[in-house]
Amino acid sequence: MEPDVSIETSSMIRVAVLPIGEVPPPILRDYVSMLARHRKIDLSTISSFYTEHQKSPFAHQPWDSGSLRFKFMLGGSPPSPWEDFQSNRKILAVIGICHCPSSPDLDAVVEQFSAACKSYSSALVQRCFAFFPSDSQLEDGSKRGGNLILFPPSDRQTQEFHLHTMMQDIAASLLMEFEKWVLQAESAGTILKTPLDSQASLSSEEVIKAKKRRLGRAQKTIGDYCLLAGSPVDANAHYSTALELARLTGDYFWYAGALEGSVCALLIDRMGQKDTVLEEEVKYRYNSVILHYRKSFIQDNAQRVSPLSFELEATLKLARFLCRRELAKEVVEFLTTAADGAKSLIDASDRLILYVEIARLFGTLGYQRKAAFFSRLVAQLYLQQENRLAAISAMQVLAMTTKAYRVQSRASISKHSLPNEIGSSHADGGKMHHHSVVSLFESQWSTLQMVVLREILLSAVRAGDPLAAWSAAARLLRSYYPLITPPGQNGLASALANSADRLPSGTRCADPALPFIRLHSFPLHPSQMDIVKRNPAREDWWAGSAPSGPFIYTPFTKGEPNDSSKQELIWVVGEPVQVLVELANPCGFDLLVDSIYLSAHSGNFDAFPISVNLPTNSSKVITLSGIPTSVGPVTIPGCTVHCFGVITEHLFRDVDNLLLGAAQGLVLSDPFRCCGSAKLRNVSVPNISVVPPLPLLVSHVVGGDGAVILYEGEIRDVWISLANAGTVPVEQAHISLSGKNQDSVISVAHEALKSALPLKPGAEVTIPVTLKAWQLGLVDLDTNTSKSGSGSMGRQSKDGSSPMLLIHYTGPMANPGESTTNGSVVPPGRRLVVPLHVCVLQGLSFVKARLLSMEIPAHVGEDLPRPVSVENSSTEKVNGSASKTDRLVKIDPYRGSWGLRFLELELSNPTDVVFEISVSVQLENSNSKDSLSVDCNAAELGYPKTRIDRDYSARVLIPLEHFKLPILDGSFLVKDSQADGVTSGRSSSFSEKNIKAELNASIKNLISRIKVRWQSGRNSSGELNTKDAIQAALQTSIMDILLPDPLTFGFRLAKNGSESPKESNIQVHTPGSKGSVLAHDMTPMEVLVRNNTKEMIRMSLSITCRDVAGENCVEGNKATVLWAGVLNGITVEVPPLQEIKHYFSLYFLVPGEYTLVAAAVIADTNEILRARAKTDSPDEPIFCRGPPFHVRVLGTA
Amino acid sequence: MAGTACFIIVSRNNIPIYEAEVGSALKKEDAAHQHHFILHAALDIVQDLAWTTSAMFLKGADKFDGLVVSVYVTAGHTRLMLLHDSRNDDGIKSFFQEVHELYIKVYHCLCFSVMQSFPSSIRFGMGLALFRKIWMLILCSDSNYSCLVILLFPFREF
Repeated sequence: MEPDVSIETSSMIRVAVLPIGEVPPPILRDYVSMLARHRKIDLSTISSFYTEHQKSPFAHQPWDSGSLRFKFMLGGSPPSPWEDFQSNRKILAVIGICHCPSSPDLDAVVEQFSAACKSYSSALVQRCFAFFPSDSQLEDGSKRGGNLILFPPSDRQTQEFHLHTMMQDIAASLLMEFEKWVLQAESAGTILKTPLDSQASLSSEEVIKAKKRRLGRAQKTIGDYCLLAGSPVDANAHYSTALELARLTGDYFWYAGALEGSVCALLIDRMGQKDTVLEEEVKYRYNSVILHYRKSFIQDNAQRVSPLSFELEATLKLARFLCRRELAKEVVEFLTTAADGAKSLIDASDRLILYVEIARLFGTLGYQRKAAFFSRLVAQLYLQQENRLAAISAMQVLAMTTKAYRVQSRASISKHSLPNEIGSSHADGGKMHHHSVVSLFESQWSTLQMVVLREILLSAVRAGDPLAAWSAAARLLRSYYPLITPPGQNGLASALANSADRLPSGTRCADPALPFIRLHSFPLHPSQMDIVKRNPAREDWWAGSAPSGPFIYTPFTKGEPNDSSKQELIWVVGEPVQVLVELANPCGFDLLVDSIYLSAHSGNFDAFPISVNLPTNSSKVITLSGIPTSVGPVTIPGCTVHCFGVITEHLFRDVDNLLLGAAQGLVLSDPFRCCGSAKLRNVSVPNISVVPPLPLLVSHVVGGDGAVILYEGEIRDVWISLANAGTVPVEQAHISLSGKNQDSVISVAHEALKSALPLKPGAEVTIPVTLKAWQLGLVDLDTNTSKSGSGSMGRQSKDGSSPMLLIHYTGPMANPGESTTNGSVVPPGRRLVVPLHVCVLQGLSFVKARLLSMEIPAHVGEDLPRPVSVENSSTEKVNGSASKTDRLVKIDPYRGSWGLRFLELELSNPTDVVFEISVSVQLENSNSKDSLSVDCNAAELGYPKTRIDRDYSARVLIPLEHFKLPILDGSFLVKDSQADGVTSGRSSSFSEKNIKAELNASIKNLISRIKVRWQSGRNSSGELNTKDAIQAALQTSIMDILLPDPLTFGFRLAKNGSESPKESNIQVHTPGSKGSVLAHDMTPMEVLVRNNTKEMIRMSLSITCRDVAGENCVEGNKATVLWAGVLNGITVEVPPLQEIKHYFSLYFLVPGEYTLVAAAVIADTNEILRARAKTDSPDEPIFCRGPPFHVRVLGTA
Repeated sequence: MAGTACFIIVSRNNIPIYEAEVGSALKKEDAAHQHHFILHAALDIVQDLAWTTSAMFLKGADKFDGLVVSVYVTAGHTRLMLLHDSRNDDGIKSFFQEVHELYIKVYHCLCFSVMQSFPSSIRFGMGLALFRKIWMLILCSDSNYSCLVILLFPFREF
């Protein structure tokens, strides 16, 4: 059998093309390709070379439309035993090709050529083409003549033209030779035999039979020559005769041959027109051909020779003729029949050719799987030959099948399809549609794929192609590791290693082996290096910029629209970056990855390789780093891995697809999951761009970066040092606060940073920050107590309750190195986040606040325990020795108290240190005129420090007397009055709001002036937040604290003259008993009634005096006190904010302690008074009682 | 004789989803592989043949080396392929029909178990009518399977 046969093959003149002398293969290929263009020489072009010696036997030669066809057999071919049967199998011409520069001696060339021609006895024409002869050779050759034809050096076009002419010459010579041969054959007749004819003894019968057949065979052969001479009509005539004769003699084999020839003549005659009638005719005749070849099968010599190959060849010829998609069914039938015949073929190479042809025809039909199937059979036949060249052929054939079996090497996949895939897979962030994922894994028939890959590996090893072997083993191991037993995996690993040993180091292979690599994450810029887009139009350039991290939401962009759907990552030239990838080795051997690094195709990224060891069935997350080297976009499609001695690129996309397939059950196993790695969110590769160098601030807290441990409310200064570690100066910087508990940062020294600008590379600046520890919330306290056993000190600083300093800083607007042309693109700024690690410990805790009231009677003396506002300066002088602070705590016995209230704060110390508490009250001194304050010139009053030991509680009292308002005004009471429905609706509701706000403001004002400070140890000090507790304690009785009584009563000894000697004596002698009176003496006294309201008050005043037992000693039978003046029912009018005096005298009969109490019934009650007294009915009299005053009466003894 | 037979179910994506080597012939690995190769190659012919006939059973669709490939193409273009050496078309046809029936049953189980993974509220909320509809879809032709699977696909994660 012969490869590449078609019906037209019968009309082709076989020409052996032989290299003569040394011809380098590429040059030979070049010459042959030049020659191959002249496969067809038109008869019209050769007439000039043709001379008719005698009358041509080709009477119907179509000189205007016909042509001669050549089939060039490079290297020649051995003579076929079937040459007589089919003349086109003869080598009818020999063309030698000589490359003169490598064969200087033309004589030798001629000699070699003639020697080579000897083996082609059937050759009618011999020519040797010598290309590029030197001048001397040219001279020599021109003298020689003969078969040697020199092609002088010239351009290609000329040479081709020259060659064309020479081919025309050969064609004409051949035509003349054919004429000669046909004339000879017609006259003499030749013996034509085939191997099919019995060669042993010829019985007489057979001799007679052979004689009869000879004529028919001769006619058939003449027909063949007519075909070769390009005269189909003549051929057809001879074939008809031959058919007739062969049929008569029962020479089926030759009959079939003649029929084949006639079909060829028919097709040549029709010049390639194809219509259905012709097709039917061809089909009909060829079926007959096949039938007759089959008929000619002779059992006798079936072992030696068989016409089967002719039958199959005819089948293939017909199949090739019909090979179109529409006729697929028929063609498949022919090919199936042909394939069935293969096992009856005697010659293995015939089978090989048959399978090759079947595969090619199936491929032409578009049946890729069928073609692959037969190609694989071809490869198996090659592999049976056990030699290297056959193995190479097998490998190449198998490589062609990989597409159908979906085991292509990445190298064979066309390059242009790759970028599209990358684009599409990343465009939708790895979320592929179901169908497209399925299509990726379509036709994954693992049984076949493994076999094919194994065969490729085997053939590559035999063929000595280590790279192909490596690639096949890598594909096998990577795709089918779950189906391979651990020993098998080990075997493949050693195959990889063995192949790599034969490869030069640094060899790259398109197909990755192990490990599986997927993208784990792109770590954010550490908060130290965050990059912020710069808005040059704004002063606060960082505002409104998109987040620089891969998070869609960041706390820093809360509420700002995030319009960029594509995540972007910015890297800085010269600053190392890191990417986390996960590696998996699901195989049963330890995998040593010699080096792995990020592969960046953009060329502006230097990756740092690292070496990893992956034990059996394990996965590992590793950090790969690199440095961007120049500005521009960076793409990182995967990693470059040096493993098993070969460098491969592992694309993240491939593994992503694999995992996607595994998730849908399309792939056998997920390599990461079988290694025990957790399921990972699909990470998409963000757009990475590299920007020019930026400044880089590095911060550290002076005195250690550990958390600052503070007790609740503690105030402390922290110094933060900022250094520029970049290569560009910092030109702008701005500090802002972020995070929780921002109010705990009391002050930041903005100026310190501003004044240090521009901060040169390497320079450093220290900025102080004042911190005040916040209160621990209830939750914190709970967890604190529950976890106190574990002693997690730094916990508070870790859970993110600490505030952060955000420092936005930028370098210069344009880089000095760059021209101003691209100045429009402003280099981005940066953000440094300095977390102020504050660990707040529970400090002094506030248990509760209570309001206590206390009534201390005053002593009646010469001085009135007067309202502080009136004569505070004088009292100050009197009690000049007493310090201001003392005055507030110690109560002057003569001053007395009228309903003094104390705020009691209960504090406890659960910590293990000692606290000292100091309570201070800040007093107003701005409006001293009508102020309530005792000490106008004292801005602040303190109490002595209270020490609280660990695990103890303590109470602190704060007198609230000083907060009373001077005037009882209606304004505070409107709310109550409105309840009576007296005031009209609208105005009151307006004023109500106003007043309520005022009231609240005054409460706040009151509270804000009370400060509880603490100190612990040497440098811990702070303030206790008691506001809420105080407010709660005060809320109920705020009226009583803030509002004065409508009337203030006071008693004092009346001074008769400007200076009473008696009184002065008393004062002089007994300063301690100042204001005491003597028994049996008329004591003039006065009662002072002050109106604290803004309206005139009429009232009925009465004064009572009681003894120690509480008996009224002024009235009744046993009165011990005599009096002068009026004591009861004194009707007086007190003008607003004025005071009146009422004089009376008492005569004490018995020395002792007495108590004077003034009381009044207010006559004309107004709303304010009623509200103050908390009565509702207007009829009810308002009774106003003053505080008791003590009088000590001394005996006269 | 019934020497060799190899049965494979190939999904519409040309992925073998079930394979069984039956018959009394030597169970050599190479032979089994060869059977797979023959069946794989026959897919090309089945692909064209399926559209030329309304019959689901394509007897003797392909042959190689004395082995015949018979194919049963379901409506969803799942192919039940049998490689055999003896001609018993009726037996093979009834075999295919039984397998098809079983195949659909297995399928229901699969679909049902997927449905089981619905939150119960959804499952019951679907109502009987909808449920019946889906069942009918599956019963009528498995070509709707793919859309059903797409429908159910998000729930597979549960």
